[in-house]
Amino acid sequence: MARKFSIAAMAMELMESLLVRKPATVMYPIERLAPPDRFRGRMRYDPDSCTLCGLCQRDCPADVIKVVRKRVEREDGKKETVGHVEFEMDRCVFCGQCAYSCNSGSITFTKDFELAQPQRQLFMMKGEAEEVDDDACDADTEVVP
Amino acid sequence: MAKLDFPVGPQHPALKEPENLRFSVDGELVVDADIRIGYVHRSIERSCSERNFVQDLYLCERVCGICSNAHTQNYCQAVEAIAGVEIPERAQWIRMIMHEFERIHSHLLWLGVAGHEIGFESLFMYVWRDREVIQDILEMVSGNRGHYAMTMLGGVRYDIAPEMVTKIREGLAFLRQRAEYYADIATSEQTFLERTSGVGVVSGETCVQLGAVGPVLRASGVAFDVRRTFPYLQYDKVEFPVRTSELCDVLGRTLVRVQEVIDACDICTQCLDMMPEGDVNMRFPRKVPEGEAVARIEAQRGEVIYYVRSNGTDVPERVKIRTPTLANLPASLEMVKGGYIADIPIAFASIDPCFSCADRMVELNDVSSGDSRTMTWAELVKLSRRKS
Ligand code: SF4
Ligand code: SF4
Repeated sequence: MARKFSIAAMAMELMESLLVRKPATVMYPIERLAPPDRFRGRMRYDPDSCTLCGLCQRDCPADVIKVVRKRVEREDGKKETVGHVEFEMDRCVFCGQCAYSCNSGSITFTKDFELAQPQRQLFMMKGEAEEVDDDACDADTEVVP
Repeated sequence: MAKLDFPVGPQHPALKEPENLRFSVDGELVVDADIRIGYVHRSIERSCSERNFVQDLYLCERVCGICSNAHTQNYCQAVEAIAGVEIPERAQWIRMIMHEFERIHSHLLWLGVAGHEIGFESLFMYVWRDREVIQDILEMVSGNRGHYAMTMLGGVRYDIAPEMVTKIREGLAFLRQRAEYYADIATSEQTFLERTSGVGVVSGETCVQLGAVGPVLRASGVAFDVRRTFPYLQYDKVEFPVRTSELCDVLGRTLVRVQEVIDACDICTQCLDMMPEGDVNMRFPRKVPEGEAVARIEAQRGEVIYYVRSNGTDVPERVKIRTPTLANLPASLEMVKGGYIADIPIAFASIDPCFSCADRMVELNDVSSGDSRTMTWAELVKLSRRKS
């Protein structure tokens, strides 16, 4: 059953590996492989389009997202809802469910994969959203009166 | 010579995961073996009852880093069965393709690890280099190399775009050819044969009695594959053989897995040919009607079983998971008995164990008094916060 090796075949293989084949690995960080289009890297949050509906918070499996809404009185006496969304990105598992649940397209993912930070606080991300449609809001979100 | 008992682990160099093995040896021969698991219990089943059905999807995905797609598919199958939902046909084909992609990457990973365990490091390096091809394909289709988040309730997250199909076909053709080469190596390379042939022997009858599953069962001559016996998705429409081996040893398990890589490439090609156009997902109700379901699939390590019970809310009442490693552990103890101490690592590795997946319950016992203790959810949360 022993496998038969031919010296000539082995020499050919060696020459090929030395002269023709590229190494299987790359010299990171000098050389970087491009992530594919669907890659979920650094998260980008767009407060302008966010309606503070809270769907992302409801479905996030890692408790990353906290949607905070406030009722404030404008100068003309009318009340409006403002608020912000906080992201504790050190907990994020990059599943992409928040982007999938968001109906406003406010959450997207970039191809940036170098996300290490020296301190946990640097992972905190906050985006203020102004004047949102009350009807679009989910009942589960935290409301600060 | 007097028998010697010795413990191995929980921390030991053979595997990255903790488990405690106790061997009784007579000279170089293993006379008896026992195992204790439970060192990486993560409370996943209990945590599932604290989160909604969508969040649980990602929790189940993390039962195993290697079979992650198998777990989400199985979970979705159970929940979709309770909800009485039939997902779009194209989504079913894409789920099958992902299922087989995962089988290819997992079996190649195992082959590399087997090479490492027997001291055949060049095999490990070659196989893992080739495995990058399927990893790149998985990343292209799902966006991630592991924990793909591809399967979702009601279908799949992403479609397979036409421009991806060519790359996938090329990759599969390459992998098929490499798997044939590795099958040739496994049957003709003297180093490999001497370290695997006749090692870790367990008969088909013993496997059936001990409830072994997957390649371990098939390599002992029992032709059982959930994909064929209880077809799910569109497995009844594709052609593939149920690979078995009569060798009952590590070599047999290697051959079954390598041949399954070849078959998985063929299944994927058939899926790409037969896949109809259409939607890849549909709206899934947030609240799942009252009911219960059991789903079983043939993951790469063997049969995975999910039991899900819903009480009509958006949070499941119970999720029960049976992973293949748990089913294969009793058979793995039989494999090492009667063998040499030096063969223990490869005999254990031949079931492709994943101990983190297998830990489903922990009983807290005071060793001196024998008293058992129950911890509440609040106590567990407090303990985990203190430890992390
Ligand atoms: S789901 Fe989208 S719109 Fe709603 S709160 Fe989250 S980011 Fe804003
Ligand atoms: S990617 Fe997943 S874990 Fe991260 S914030 Fe979104 S939903 Fe949460």
